[in-house]
Amino acid sequence: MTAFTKRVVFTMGGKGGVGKTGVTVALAEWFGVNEIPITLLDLDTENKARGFLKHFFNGTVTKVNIHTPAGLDAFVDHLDGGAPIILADMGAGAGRAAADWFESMHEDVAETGVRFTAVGVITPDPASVESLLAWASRLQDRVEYVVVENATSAPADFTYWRSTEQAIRFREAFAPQILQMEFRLAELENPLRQHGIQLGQVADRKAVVEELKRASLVMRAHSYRRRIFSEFDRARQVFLP
Amino acid sequence: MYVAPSTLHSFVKVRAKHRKRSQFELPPALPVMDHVAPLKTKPVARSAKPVRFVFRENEPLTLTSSGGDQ
Repeated sequence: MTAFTKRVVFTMGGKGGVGKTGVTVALAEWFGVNEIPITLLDLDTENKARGFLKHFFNGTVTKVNIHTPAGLDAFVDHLDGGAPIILADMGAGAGRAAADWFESMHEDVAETGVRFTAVGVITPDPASVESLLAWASRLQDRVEYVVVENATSAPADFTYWRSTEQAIRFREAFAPQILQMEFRLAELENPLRQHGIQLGQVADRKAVVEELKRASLVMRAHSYRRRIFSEFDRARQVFLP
Repeated sequence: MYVAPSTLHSFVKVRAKHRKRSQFELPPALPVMDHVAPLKTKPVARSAKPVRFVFRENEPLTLTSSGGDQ
């Protein structure tokens, strides 16, 4: 029997703007607070100036082009002797490349003790649900699934995730861990993205941006972080090796 | 045409030598069948796992009449 010692946690790409990078940043903070070393990979090949992983963790993120034949082999290379966890942020449109890689490599990689967790982020937008289901249709049970319900409004209506036949079939087939990410105030969320600042930096009053030093935002950052960490705690078995 | 007996002799001698060299040798009798039989009965690895979930891209999401599980 294989002893699982490593894990690759990756966001499923597809629909853009659903909060994949936000979830990845929060997850990286959660691993950091729990003193679990991770390797951060940015697999988003779109050349954006802001809002991508490297913007938040400058200098500690490796950019990988998965559209090369051996691009996703970076998972294996970085796990070999490195941190026990790889946290990778997939870009939009990475589905086919990832599916092909899993088709040809997964069995042998899994035999070496590596497990995979696919994180899907959905919003009230049905396109985000379709994107998640399309990924799952390709990955099947080669991964464990986490679905983050990202409330981009308050209250958020997740009808297309909770009440469509296809989404119900997905949940019945793979029993994903379902986590909630609450709606965040724009006064906090927008400067975080603009300046590439983590929630914890605001909560710990380490953000250098003046507008993020307001006591109310510091308090908000504390609350958001506590609640999202609590969600990650619930799903810790699929985030750890 | 006149052929000297010594030429004929040389020809026959060389030909005989060549035939001897290129003589087909049967491979040693190995217990090949001992390997063939288990190979024939070896189960074939399945090329793909059974598909547990299918979703076709561009397939419209269908709301359940009951409202689904909340």
